[in-house]
Amino acid sequence: MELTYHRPKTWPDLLDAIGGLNDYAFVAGGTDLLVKLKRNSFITQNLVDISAVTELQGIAEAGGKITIGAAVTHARLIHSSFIRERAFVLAEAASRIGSPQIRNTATIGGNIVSASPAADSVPALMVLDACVEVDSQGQKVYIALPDFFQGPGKTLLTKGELITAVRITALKPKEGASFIKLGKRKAMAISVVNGAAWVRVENGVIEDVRLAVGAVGPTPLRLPAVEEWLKGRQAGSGVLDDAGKMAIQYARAISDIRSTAEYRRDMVEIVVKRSLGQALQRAGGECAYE
Amino acid sequence: MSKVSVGFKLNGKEVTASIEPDLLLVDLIREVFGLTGTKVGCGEGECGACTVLLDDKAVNSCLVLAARVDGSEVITVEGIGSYDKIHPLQEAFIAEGAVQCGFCTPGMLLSAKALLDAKPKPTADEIKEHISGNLCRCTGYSKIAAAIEKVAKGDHA
Repeated sequence: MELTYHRPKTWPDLLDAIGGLNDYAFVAGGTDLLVKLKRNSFITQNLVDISAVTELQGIAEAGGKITIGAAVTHARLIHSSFIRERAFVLAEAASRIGSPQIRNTATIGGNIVSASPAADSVPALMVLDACVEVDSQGQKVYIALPDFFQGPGKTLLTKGELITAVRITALKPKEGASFIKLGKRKAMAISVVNGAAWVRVENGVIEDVRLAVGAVGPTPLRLPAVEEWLKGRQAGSGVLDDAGKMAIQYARAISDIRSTAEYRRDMVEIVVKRSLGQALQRAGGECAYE
Repeated sequence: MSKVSVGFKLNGKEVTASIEPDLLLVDLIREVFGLTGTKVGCGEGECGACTVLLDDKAVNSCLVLAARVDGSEVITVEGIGSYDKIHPLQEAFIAEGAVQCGFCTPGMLLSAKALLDAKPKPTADEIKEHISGNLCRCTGYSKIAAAIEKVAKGDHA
C-alpha cells in the first residue's frame, strides 16, 4: 500500500495538500486512528496530519460563545484558565479522558469525530449546547452536536469534510454544570456510563436545564423529556431522584466487555442525579467550580 | 511508499532520518537510532511503557507518527542522565526500590520528569495522576510515587 504523509502548517497549505488527492484521511492526535492503522482496519493512501495547522489551534470567545479549534488537545482544555473559568465542565470531562500522555496528543475534534458512544468530552459539550463547525468544500456548515452523531463511529461527515472547530456557550452567573464518569478504574478507563448536566437557577427554581448521558446508547444522548419536566421546578433532592428515575427509560444500553445493559440502566439514574445535583450546587455558588 | 525526511533533536543532538510515512516514533527511536530504553508494551496507548517527552510533554511514542516529530525535540530515558551521573529520579528509583522487572521504568521516569519539570513541588495526588498512564505490574506503585516525592522534596537533588 502506497502511503504518503502530509503535514500542513496553515489552512491554505492544507487546501494545497488535499487539492490533487483522491483518497486521503485526516489525522490529528492519532491516538484512535493509529491503532486502527496498525490493525489494518483503516486504510488510506494519504495521511493529512492537521495537528500543526495554526487555524485549528485557537480558543476564543465572542458574544458568549466559545470557539475551540478542532486540533486543541485535551491537555490544553484542562490547563486553559479561560475554559476553567467559563466552561469548567469541559475541562472536568477532558481530565477524565485516557491518560496524561493521551491528553497531551488527543484532540477535541478527534474525540468528536471518532463518535464513540462513550466519548467523555461529548456529554459536557452537549450540555454546553455545542455545535460543530464543519468545512465542506470550502463552505462552513454548523451542526448541533446531537444531530452530528449517527451511530457508533458514524457521523454526518462525508468524504473530504473536516471538523474545524466546536462552538459552545460559556457559563453565566446563576448557571452551573457538572460531568460525572463511572469507569472500571479512575485512569485509562473507557466509561461504563458518563453524563453531564447544565442548569440555570433563579431563586431556587430551575429555569433552564440540559442533560446528556453517554455509553448507554449508540450515540451520546440528550434527555429532552427529562429536561422539559425539570423546567420550572423547585430544585431539591426529590426532584433529583425523580429526574434520575425518569432518565432510565431513555437509555438504550447494551451489554459488552465493560458492563451489562442492566447495570448501565441503573447507573443512568445515578449519573443524572449526581451530575444535576452538582450542577445545581455550582449554580448556587456554594462551592463554585469544585 | 514515499519516504519522509525528518530532522529533530534527540536527547540534545540534532539528528536526521529518511523514513516510511507510517513508521511510529517508538520504532524510529529503537530501530533507527538504536535506543532501546524505550519499551513497547501494548502498542495501543494503554500501558505507557513507550512514554517519551515530545517538546517537554509526555506522549505514547507508539501512537505518534515518526514523521510528526520533524522540527521537534524528543527526550528518551537515555537522555535524562549520563553514565557518569544518572538523573536524580533514577537515583531515587534505585534507592526506594521502585524498580523490579524494570519494563515500566523508562516510561515512569519520563512521566515523572514531565511532571517535575512543569511543577517542581507536586502534591501526592498530582504525582499519582501523572503516572496514571504508566502501568506497573510489579511494585504496586507506592515505591514509585515515594521515589518521585523524594526528588520533589529535594532529598535526591
